[in-house]
Parts: sequence; structure tokens; C-alpha cells
Amino acid sequence: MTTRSDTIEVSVSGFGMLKSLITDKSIRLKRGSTLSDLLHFMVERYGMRFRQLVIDPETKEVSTSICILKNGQTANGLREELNDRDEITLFIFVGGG
Amino acid sequence: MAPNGYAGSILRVDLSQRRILKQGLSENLIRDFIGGRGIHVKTLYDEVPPTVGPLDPENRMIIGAGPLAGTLAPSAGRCQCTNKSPLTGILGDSNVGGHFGAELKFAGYDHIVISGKSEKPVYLWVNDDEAELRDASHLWGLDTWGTTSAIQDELGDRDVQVLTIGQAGENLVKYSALVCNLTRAAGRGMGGAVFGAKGLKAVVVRGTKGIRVADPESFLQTVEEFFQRIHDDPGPQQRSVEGTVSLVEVCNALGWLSHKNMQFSTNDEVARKLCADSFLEYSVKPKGCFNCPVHCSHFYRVNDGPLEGTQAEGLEFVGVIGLGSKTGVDYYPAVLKANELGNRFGFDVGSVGDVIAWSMECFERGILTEKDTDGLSLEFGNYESMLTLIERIARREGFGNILADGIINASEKIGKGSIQFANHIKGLPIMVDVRGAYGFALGHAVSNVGAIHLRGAVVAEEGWPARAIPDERAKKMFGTLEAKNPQSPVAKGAVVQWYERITVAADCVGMCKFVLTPYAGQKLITLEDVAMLLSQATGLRFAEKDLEMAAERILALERAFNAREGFSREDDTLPPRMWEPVESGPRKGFRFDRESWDKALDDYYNVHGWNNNGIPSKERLETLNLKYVGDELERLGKYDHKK
Repeated sequence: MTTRSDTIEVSVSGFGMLKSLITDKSIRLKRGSTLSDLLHFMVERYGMRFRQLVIDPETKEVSTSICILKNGQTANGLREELNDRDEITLFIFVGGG
Repeated sequence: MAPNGYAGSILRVDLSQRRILKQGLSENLIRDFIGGRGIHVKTLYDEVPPTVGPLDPENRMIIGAGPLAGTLAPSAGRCQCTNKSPLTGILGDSNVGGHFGAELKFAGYDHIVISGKSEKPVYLWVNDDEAELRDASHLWGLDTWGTTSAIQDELGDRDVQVLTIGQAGENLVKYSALVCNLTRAAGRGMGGAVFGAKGLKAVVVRGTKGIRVADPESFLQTVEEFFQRIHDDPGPQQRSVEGTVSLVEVCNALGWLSHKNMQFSTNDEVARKLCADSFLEYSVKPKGCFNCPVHCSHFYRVNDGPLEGTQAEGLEFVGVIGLGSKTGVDYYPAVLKANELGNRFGFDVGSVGDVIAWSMECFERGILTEKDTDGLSLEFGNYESMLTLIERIARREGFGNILADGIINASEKIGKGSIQFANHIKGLPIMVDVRGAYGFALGHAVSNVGAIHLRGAVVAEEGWPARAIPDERAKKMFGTLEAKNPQSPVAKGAVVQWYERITVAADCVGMCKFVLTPYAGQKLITLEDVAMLLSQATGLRFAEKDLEMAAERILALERAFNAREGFSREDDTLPPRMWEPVESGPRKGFRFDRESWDKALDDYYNVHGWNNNGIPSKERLETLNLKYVGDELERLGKYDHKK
């Protein structure tokens, strides 16, 4: 049985085209989960369009065109472990204009 | 005969003598400077010495398109416009999309170099091999839209491409733009006032020739692959749907939003009101430039409310920040109206928004009162005052006349410490808060045209490099993994240099930066790819290192041009506000430290082979085939400075 202390809750949001696809405000994960775990959970949960945008078809990994902020700062890497109440923001890289 | 890809000719127009000459394009020039921006800076350096003021007849207005412009290469229709800038007094160099660049090539020209001054208003009409100056007296006083349609009617051809000025350029407003396709502006080089000073209302082209490529089979295969990459990458998809306005929320989240004349770096309410979702309520349809699959611009219309009937195209990130976030105007129809007026009067919309935001801060601080502003109440967010002021600046009426000379001149006239709130680098307004990101800030500070994010600034420094470049590659490219950390000054010279090189290449060949890595997705078109396209198109062999070398030559020559005008290290800095600690948002408390900044600047000069005063050394210039430039700088005493 999973108890609350075994889990963490992270808030999730997105900008641009990802905004309307991320339909949750927060997601509960097993303690010890990484950013990669979170993103793969989101890919499963949010359907084909989200997958098309977020997963690189060649590498099957999260596309390098997806920017990930953890608590407003660049996330260091997908293996980064998440903490309770972390804020994760995803957006598609676009520069300038 | 010039290589394939090139039209092969430069059109020389002397307005004083009413003389038009056609010159061939030399292969040496091509090898060293590629085209577009490169050939422009070479021409400007050689022909516009410090004794020539920006509004003097002998300033040059150089308009051109690189060797890929007009070919089937993706998003290759950019037009480069270069001059000594009336706003900054240094290099003015800007890049515009739309269809003018490709049409110029179709008419048989890579560049038009305009000198002199016409006694009466004229426009230049280039119709394939025929070129003539025509009377423009009846067009003087018209906005860019009226001018464009009047010329199309006069020539009986709706397909002529018109690059024109509005009233702002005619009235020598120092931040006036050149506008083509009604709403596309070469904004930040301030060529509008150069046109105005020359009595030149417009340049009009019609071309029916093609562009030959050397190896059509390989070229088309490459083109097809690159189009596929663009289609597959989420970056261009995002840009296609929302345009560059999508950056508003991103900048707010990163603390890069410039709100109320940069007093604040975030504001959730403003970001929500000015975000792409809000903008799309007014978008009618996306519009593309020549041969571009991204079509990031949007035609928009306001269908109700007090500003019903507002319509134009864009809206670009610089527009929404300058006219919206900076001025505190978060009523979208007003931002859209201001952008329309900016296009019609012919402004650099970022700069006109910035100068209004600055005057609003002066007003709120009591430095300006309604007595000074001809009765306008200029508190932040007052959109009616903003719209009125835009017109008064364009017409140089009353207080508008003071603002028309730019923020530095205006603050000198107004005094009372108002210069402290002027957010510019080398005289060009800065559009975003760059604190907390060394590569982003450094790229702005060292740019050879002043504060601009599209010359070498590490755009989206927070967000992507940590993941986009694998550690091993980052170490190889930049020497250390510290390069990936935006808050560290280490190795930022090399990162900025990487951005600069791809940027110069894009501006030389005529491609849009927004389909190139690292400006869009990370798997898009690289410098190596540009070299391949260029080789296949021209039949000349260009490797990545050739483009890197050309970029170094061009950057050094731009530097030398500015050095000759008296610019040096002390100008590669940030505005006063950017040295203060960040007041809120994710980077709250961050403050650039001067010592680290100096080291980052040293590092940047060092990677380019420039001296510690930011001037390319004689030895470096010699290795770049620019010995005569080093000799001149030495003669002028530009190497006498000791740090």
C-alpha cells in the first residue's frame, strides 16, 4: 500500500501549445521519482499530440527542443530527482522575434 | 560572371547626380564576405568614414539579399538593410522578411548601394534591367500603406515589391524603419531617417528572372530534407501557431519581461493579458515570408470595442514588449493599434515603445508634467496617450519632437536625472531584462549595433543548453561544462561567439535565423548545413570553417567601423538598471558583479582575437585579410589605449 509519505506532489504547467495539453495542476509520484519519470508519465497521460511535441521520434527521448524549468530555473537533467512541491514548467524552445 | 546563387550585380545609385550604374560582383568579395550583411559592412567601412554623419548625403543606404535568397532554400528571402545609424551613430544593420529580398534577386541584383541626396522626393524603380528615379512629390506625406498602394497603382502592378518609409522617416525621426509588404520592418538599423534625409521615399523592385543553382539535384535533395526537419520540430510548429508572441509568458516565467520601463522583470497579470492565447483572439490567419514553411506572422483585426477596425500584421515579440509590457499597456487592442501605427508611420516599434515607456516613468516620477507633454497624461498604461504620442513623434509635434531624437538626446534636454531610466546599449533601446543570464546579457552588450537579442545574445539561455548539448560536446565546443550555466560568467565568450557565427551566416546568405539551430529547435539547420546549401547553390566549396572565418572577418570589420567612430570597451556594457539586483521573480536578488562581468568581456574579446579595449588587433585583422583596416586604426590612434 502506498502512503502519502511515500509520494510527492509536483505542480505542472506549460506555455504555448503545451499549455492546453497539460490538463492537471499537479501530479502525484512515488518518492524518488525523477524528471524523466514525470515526463514519461505525462506523455502517457496527455495523448498523441503531447507525445508528438515532446518525444523525439528518433531517440524516443524527451526532445531537446523542450525546455524544462524546475522552480523557475533550468532543470539540470532528466535524471534529476524531484522533491515534494517542486514546480515544473514545460515549453517549446523558440528564440527571438 | 558571378557564381550561381548570386544575381551577379550591384546597382549603384547616386541621388545627387541622378546617376545609376550597374557593377559586377567580384569573386574575392564573395569569398571573403559571402553576401548580404558581409558585403554591406565591407562597403560601409570603405565608403562611410567618421566625417560622414548618418543624415549626410554621403552616408550609404545599402539594401541587399544573400546568395540563397530567392532560391528554394527554406526561409531564404531575407533582405539586409545597412547604413550608419541615425540613432546610434554607429553601424545600423537590420534584416527584414517578406518578399522584397527575393524580388531584388529576381530583378538581377544582389545589392543596391544608394548615395547622395535628391533635391526633390524620388523613388527608385527597378524593373529587371531598367532602373530609374521617379518623382515622389505626390507620395511625400503618405504613410507606408498609402505609399505602397499608390506606387502599385501608378505602375499598374500589384506584385511590385515596395520598401518604403512613412512620415517618421520623412521627418528624420531617429528610430524610423524601412517597411515592406506593409507590415514588415527593417527596424533596428534606423534606415528610415536615412531614406528621409536622402529625399528617397521608396525603393520598388520587380524581377522576372530566376536564380541559378550550381547543383540542382543535390540542392533540392538537401532542401527537401531541411523542410522535413522544420516540419518535424516542435519549435517551428510552436512559432507557426503562436508567432513570437509566445515568448511573453516564457520571459515572464524566466524574469526577463520588461515591465513599466524595466522597473519590473515579471508581472503575471500583464503576461496573462498579453500572452499568445490573448493575441490569437485577434488573429485572422498566419502569414509567411518568401518560401517559408513557418509563417510565424499573423494578420490580425480588432472587430469591436473602442479600437474596432484596427488591423495589421505581426505582432512580434519586440512589438508586444515595447508597446505593451514596457508601457504598462495591457489592453490588447491598444497594443495592436500601436503596432499598426508603428507600421504605417514607419517606426522601429520597439524603440518608439521604449521612448514612450521612458517618458511615462519620467512623468510618474514628476520629472515631466502635463506642461511638458502638451497636456498628455503619461501615466503607465494610458493607451490613449500612447497612441496620440506615437503620431506626434512621427510628425515631430511639440513634445513628440523631443522624443523623436531618441532617448539620449531627449534625456539631455529634459535632464533631472532622467538618463538613469534610459535603458539602452550604445543608444539602442534594450527590449528585455537580461539579468541572471551572462550569455544573454553579454550578447546584448557586445552587439555591434547596440542592444539587440538577434546578433549573438544567447537567446533562451535559461531553458535549453543544459539539455540540448550533451556534456561531451559542450566540453569540446566551449572548453568547460560551466558554459551551460547561465548564472556563471565562465566561457560565455565562446557561447556568444557560437551564436554570432550562425547569425552572421544567416544574415549573409539571406536565411531566416528562426529555422536555424540554436535560434529554433535543436535539430534544425546548423552552420555546417548552411555551408552545404551554399556550396550546392553556388558551386563554390564552403566548409563550416570557411563560414566561421567569414563571420570572424565580418564581426571584426563591424567592430572596426564602430572603433573608428570612437566606440570601445566602455560601450560594451549594460544600462544602469541592469546592474541593480533583481527585485522579484525566479532570479530575485541576483546581481551582476562587475569583476565577473569584466572577466566575461575579456574572455569574449579573447576568443575573437581582439585587444582588451574590444578592438580587433592589427595581427588579427591581418589574418582576416583586413590589413588595411588595422593600419587605419593604428593611424587613428585606436590602439593607444592601455587598460
